[in-house]
Amino acid sequence: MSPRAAWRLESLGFSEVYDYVDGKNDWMSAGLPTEGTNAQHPRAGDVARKDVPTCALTEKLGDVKARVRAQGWDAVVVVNASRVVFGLLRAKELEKDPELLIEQAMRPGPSTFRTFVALHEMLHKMVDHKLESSVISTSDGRLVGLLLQEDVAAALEKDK
Amino acid sequence: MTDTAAKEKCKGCNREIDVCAFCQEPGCPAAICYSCQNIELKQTLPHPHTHGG
Amino acid sequence: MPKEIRREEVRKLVAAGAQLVEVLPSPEYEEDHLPGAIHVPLRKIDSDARTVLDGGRPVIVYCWDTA
Repeated sequence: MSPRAAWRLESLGFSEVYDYVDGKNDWMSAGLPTEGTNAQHPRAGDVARKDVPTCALTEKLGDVKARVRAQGWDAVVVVNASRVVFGLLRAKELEKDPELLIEQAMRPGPSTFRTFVALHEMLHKMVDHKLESSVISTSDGRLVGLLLQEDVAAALEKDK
Repeated sequence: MTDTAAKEKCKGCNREIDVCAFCQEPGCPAAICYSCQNIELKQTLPHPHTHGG
Repeated sequence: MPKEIRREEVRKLVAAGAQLVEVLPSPEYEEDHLPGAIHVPLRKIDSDARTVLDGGRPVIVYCWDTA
C-alpha cells in the first residue's frame, strides 16, 4: 500500500519519492527505536535476558548441563556461529541422557517472538500456556535473549 | 488403518493445527495457530486492514 | 517512478534531510512510528501532502510491510 502513496506523491509534484517497502514491521523487527505510546513502555526485547547461555548442536548434553547449571540457569538456547536459533533446552531436556548430543536432546525449532511484542501480551500468553520462558529473536532468526515470565511480571508491576 | 489421533483446533479461527504455535505442547488447552498468534501479539496486522486513517 | 529502498538507505536519507511519512491510520501511527515520521494517512495524501510536506526535500513513505 505504500506504493500507492509513493506514486500519488509523485503525481502531486513531489520529485524525489522513496518507498520503504519492508515498512515498520521490518524496522521494529530489527530492534530499532520508535516513537509513540507503545514506545514508552518496556517490551519483550527490553526485558529478555541477553546473557542466556547458548550452546552448539554438536556438544554433549552432560557438558552443557554442567556449564549451564554452574551459571545458575536451567535453560539454554542452541545457536549456530551466527546466533541463529536452532533449538531450546529447558529443565526437562537438560535431564535427559548426558551422553546425548545437543541436537538429539533439544527441543528443535522453538517458537520465537519479536523484540517489539508488548509485555502484557507475552505475560498473558506465557501464563495461559504455562511457559516459564520464551525465546526472543530478530526477524532473521538470531537470538536476542530469553524472556522469563517472572521478569515480565516484575517489569509490568514496575511500569504501573 | 486410519489415524484416529484428535487434531488440535485453533482457539482463534477454529482451523485444524498440528500443535499450538505458542508453546508447541500437544493438548494445549489454549492452542493457537501461527497466524492468529501473530495478530494477537501484534507481530503483524490483520488482513484486510485499512490505510485511510 | 518511486524508488524502493531498504532500511539502511532509509537511515542515510533521513540523516541527509529526507522526510519520513507513515501512511497507516491513526491507532497504528500513534502507537509506534519511526522516529521523526510525519503522519499522512493514505486517504489524506491528496488533501494534506502539499501543505504538510516540503516539496523541495526527498520523501520516504512506509506502511506496515509489503502487504
